[in-house]
Amino acid sequence: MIRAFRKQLVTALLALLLAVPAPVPAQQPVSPEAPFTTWLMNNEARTMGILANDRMAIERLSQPFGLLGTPTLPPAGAELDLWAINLQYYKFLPEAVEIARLARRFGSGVFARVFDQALPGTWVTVPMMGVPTFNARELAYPLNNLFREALLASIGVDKNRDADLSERLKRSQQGINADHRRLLSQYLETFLALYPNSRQVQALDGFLRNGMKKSTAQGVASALGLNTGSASDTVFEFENETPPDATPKPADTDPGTMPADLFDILK
Amino acid sequence: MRGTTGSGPFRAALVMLFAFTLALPASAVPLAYRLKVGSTYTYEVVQRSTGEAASNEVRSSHPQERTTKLEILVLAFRDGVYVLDILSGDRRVRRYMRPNGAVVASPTEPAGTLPFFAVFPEGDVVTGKPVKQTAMFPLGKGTVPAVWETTLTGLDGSKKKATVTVSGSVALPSDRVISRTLQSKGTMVLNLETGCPDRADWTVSYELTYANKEIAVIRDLWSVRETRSTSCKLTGVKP
Repeated sequence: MIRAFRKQLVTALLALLLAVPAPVPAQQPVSPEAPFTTWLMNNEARTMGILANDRMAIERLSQPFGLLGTPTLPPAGAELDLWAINLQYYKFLPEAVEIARLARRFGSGVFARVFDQALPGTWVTVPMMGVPTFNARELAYPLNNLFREALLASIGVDKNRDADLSERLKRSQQGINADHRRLLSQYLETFLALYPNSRQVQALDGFLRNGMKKSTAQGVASALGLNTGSASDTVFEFENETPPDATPKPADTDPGTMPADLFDILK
Repeated sequence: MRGTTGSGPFRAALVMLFAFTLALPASAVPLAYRLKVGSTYTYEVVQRSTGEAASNEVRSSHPQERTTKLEILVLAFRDGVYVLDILSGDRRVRRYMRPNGAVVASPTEPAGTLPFFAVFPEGDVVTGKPVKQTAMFPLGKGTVPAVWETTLTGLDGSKKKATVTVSGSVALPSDRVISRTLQSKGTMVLNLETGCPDRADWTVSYELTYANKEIAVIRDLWSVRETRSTSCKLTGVKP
C-alpha cells in the first residue's frame, strides 16, 4: 500500500518536473558591431592559418642546394601590420556604438522634457512660493543640481566624457589616421556587399559615414543638463578629411533628432 | 641571271652548315660535387627578403638584409657520401651528402623540416635539357606536390665552368577566393675543375591573394607577398 503510494508520488513528481520548462540562461544581446568584427577576426584567423602552413612550404623550398645550407631569414610578417590596424577598429567600434546609443537615448528631446518636468527642487519649492522671506529659486537650484548629478551617475553618464558626444566620437578615433579610416570604410563596404541583410552593420556604417549633427550633440548635452560651449560646429565626417568648403553651407537645421530607424537598429 | 647562279652554291653551303649544326651533339658533361676531404670552403652569403601586405590602398612592407659567412668543412668521403659540417654564425649542421647534392641524412635537422634539395642529374648532362624531380610536401592535413627542374644551361669554352639553373614550384591549392603561388628560381656556377660552386643565387617568391565569397559576390580582402633571395659567393678554400 505504502509502496504503491510512493510509486505514485515519484511518478507525479517526475511528471511535474518534466512539465516545468527548464530555465533558459539569459542571452547576452549581440552588440551591433559584432557581426562585422567577428567576420574580420575570422578572416584574420583563416589567413594566419594559411600563412603558417605555407611558410613551412616556403622554408622547404628556400634551400635548393644541399651543400649551401644557409639558415633562412625569419618571415617578415608584414600581415601583422594589417592586424594592428584591425585592432584599432576593434577598440573604436564599440565606442562608436556606445556614442550612438547615447545619442539615441538622449538626443530626441523627449528625455529633456521628462527630465525638466521631474526636477524635484521645482516641485518641493512650489508650495513655498509666496511665503515671505523664502527664496524658492535659491533652494530649487541646488536641489535640482543634486538630483541631476545623482541621476546621471545612476544611468552611467560621465559629465566630462559625454558633455559633447561629437568630441567624444572624434577623440575615440584619434589614433586612426585617414588611410586607416578609409580602409575601415572599405571593409564595411565589403562586408555589406557580402551580407547586405545585416541591418545593424548598415546602421553602424551609416552612423560612421554621416556622423552626428551639431544639433544632436547639443540636444544630448542639453538633455543631460550639461553645458557644452565646445559643441562641435562641424558634422562628423568619418570617411574623408576634406578641407572646409569655401562655398557657404546651408545652416544646420536638424531639429536635434537622429534618424530614428538607424538608432533603433543600434539599440 | 648572275644573281641566280651566284646564290645557288651559297644557299647550298648555308643549308649544309645548318644541317651540320643540327647534327652536332649538344654539350654534355657529368655534374657532381668533387670536394676535397679535409678542406674548408668559405662563402659570403647575402640574404635579402621583403614581406608585403596590402589591403585596398593600405600597404605595408618589411625589407630585411643580412650578410653572413658560411663555412663548409669536408670531414670525410665514405661509401660515396660526403660528411659535411656546415657552419653559419652559431648554427652548425652536419649533413651526409652524395656527390649529386642529395642529402641522405642530417642528424641535427628533423626529417620533417629538411629542405627539398635539387640534385644534379645522373650521367652526362646535356645542355638545355631539363630534368625533373618531384616530392610531396605536407600541407595542413594533406600533401601537395613539389617540383624541381634542373637544367644545364651553359658551359664555358674550356668546359671548366657549368651554369646550372634550378626552377622549383609547389602546387599550393588555389581557387577563385584564395589564390597562392610559390616558386623558386636559381642559378649555380659549378667549377668542374675544383668540384665546388663558385657562386649560387636563388630567389623564392610567394604570393597569397585572399578574398571572400558569398553566393555570387566575390570581394578581395588582402594580399601577402614574400620574396627571399640568397646569393653565395666562394671567398676561399683551405687548405
